[in-house]
Amino acid sequence: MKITNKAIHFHTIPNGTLNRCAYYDYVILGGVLCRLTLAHNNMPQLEETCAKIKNTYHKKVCIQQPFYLEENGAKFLQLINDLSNKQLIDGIIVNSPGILKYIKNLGIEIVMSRFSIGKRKKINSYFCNLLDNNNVSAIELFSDDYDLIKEIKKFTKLMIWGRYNDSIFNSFSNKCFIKNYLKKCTNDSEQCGLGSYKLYSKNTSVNNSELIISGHFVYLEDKQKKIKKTNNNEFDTVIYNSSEFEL
Amino acid sequence: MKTQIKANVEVISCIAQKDWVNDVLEAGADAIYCGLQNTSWHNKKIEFSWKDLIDLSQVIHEKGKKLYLAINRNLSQDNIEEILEYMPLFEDKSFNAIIVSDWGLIKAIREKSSEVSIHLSANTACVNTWDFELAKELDVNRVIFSSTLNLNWIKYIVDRYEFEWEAISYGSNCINEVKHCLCYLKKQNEKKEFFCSKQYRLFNEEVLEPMQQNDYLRLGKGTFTGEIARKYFELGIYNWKIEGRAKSISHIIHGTKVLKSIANELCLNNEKDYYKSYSSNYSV
Repeated sequence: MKITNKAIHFHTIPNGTLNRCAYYDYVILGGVLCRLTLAHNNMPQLEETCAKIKNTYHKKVCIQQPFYLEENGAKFLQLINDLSNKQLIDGIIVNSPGILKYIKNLGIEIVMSRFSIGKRKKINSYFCNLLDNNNVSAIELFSDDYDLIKEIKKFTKLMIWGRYNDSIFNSFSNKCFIKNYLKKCTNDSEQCGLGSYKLYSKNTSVNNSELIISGHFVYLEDKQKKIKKTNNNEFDTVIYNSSEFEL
Repeated sequence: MKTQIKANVEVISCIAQKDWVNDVLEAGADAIYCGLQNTSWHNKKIEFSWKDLIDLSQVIHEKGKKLYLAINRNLSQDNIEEILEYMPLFEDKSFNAIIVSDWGLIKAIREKSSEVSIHLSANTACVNTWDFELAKELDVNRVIFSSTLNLNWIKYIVDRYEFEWEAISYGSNCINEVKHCLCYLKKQNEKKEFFCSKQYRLFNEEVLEPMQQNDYLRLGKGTFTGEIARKYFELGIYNWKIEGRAKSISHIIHGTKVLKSIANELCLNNEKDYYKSYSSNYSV
C-alpha cells in the first residue's frame, strides 16, 4: 500500500493560509454551515474559496459535512448541489450514511468520514455494502490502523483515507483543547484548524513497512503558537522542510 | 397540532450482573437492557453470554417485563454472523428488542427478518433528518435520542417521524455524538472509577455549554431533579432509559425508583395536554 495523495483540512476559512494548498493534492474545507465554528456560512465566500483553490492552486476540493448542522440539512444539501453543478468541488466527506442517497449521483467523490467507523476498529461486509451501493469511494480512518485496513480490504475495494494527527480528537485528551479550539474559531478563524491527511491508493495490498508513519503534522498548542509567531511562509518552511514530514 | 392525552411510560433500566435483576425489577423497571459479550465497549465484567441472557429472559418475562439486548458498538463480520445465528430468539420475543448502533447490523437483520424489533442506539449518532430517513427505510422501530441533541431539535424530529422514541433520562452517556468513546483513555488514568464521568462532564462544560446555552440536556452533571424526564414526557417521549451499567446497583436502583415515581405521577395526571402547553415554548 502506498500513499498516493496528501490532503490538508481547513476547519475554518483559510484566509491568508490558503497558500499551504500548494503542498497538497486535496484541500478539505470543514465548518461548512457548522453551527460550532460558524465558518463558511456565506455561500459567495465559500464559492470564492473553492474557485481560488481550483484555479490558483489546481487542487481538488472536498467539503466536510459537519455534525452540528443548522436546520435539517436541506441548506447543506442545496449548497453541495450548487457547488457540484458549478464544478467547484470534487468531493464530500460525510458523517451520515443517510445522506448518501441524496448525493450518490452528483458525480463527486464521496468519502465516509472517520466518525462513522470510530475508534472501535470493527467493520463488516454489511456496512461496506451500504457504502459500495451508494457510490462511496473511500473510508476515512482516525489513524493508520493496519488491522482495520486489512479488515476493510476483505470486504470492499474502497480507498482508505488515513488521517493522522486528527486535530480535534488527538487533542481532546489534552482536555483544554476544544475550549481553545472554540475560542480560536470564534475569534481568529485564520489561526484555527489545520489537520492533515494522507490517502492510500486503491486496490493495493497492505504492507506494514510501507505504512510506517514517516511524518506528523501536529496541530498542538505549541505549533499553534508557532503559527502566530511566524508568517505563513516561514511556518510552511518549518513544517515541510522537516525530515519528519517527508512521506 | 398533535395532542397527547394518554401515555404509558416505560422505564428502561440496566443490569451488569444476573443477581441484580430482581432488585431492579422491584424498583420499578418495565424493561431491562444488557450487553452481549464481545459486542460492547464496556468492561467485560458487565457483559453476558447467550446462555446468561436466555436465563435472564425467563426471569424477566415471568414477571411480565421486557428484555432488550444492547449491541452498542461497531461490529466485526464474526460478531454479526454470531448474532444472526441467534435471530430466532428475537423473533420469538425471548429478547423483546435489539438495541443497535452499527448500520451494518441493522441491514443484516432486516435482510433476514422483519419481525425483529430494532431500537436505534443513542450511540448511532443519529442527529440529522437524513439518518432518520435511513432508519425509516430500514424499518427501525424505536430511536433512542443522542443525549446531546437539544430540545428544539428533538421536538422537530418527533413531530415529523413516527418512531417509538426513547431518551436517556438518568445517568450520563460517556460517549460523544461522533461515536467517540470517552472511556478509551481510561487505561491511562489511575483513578479509573471516576474517569468516565469526568470526561463526560468536561465534554459538556467545554463543548456543549459554550455552543448552546439553554436547550441542551446536561445529563452528566448536577443533581437529578426529574426535570429531564418531565420535558421528555411533554415532548411525547415515553420511554426513559437509565444509563450506568458500569456503575453500581445502588445507582441503577435509585434511578429506576425516581423515574418510576415521576412516570406514575405524570401518567396519573395525563388528562392534561402537556404536549400542547410545551410546544408553545419551543420552536425550530
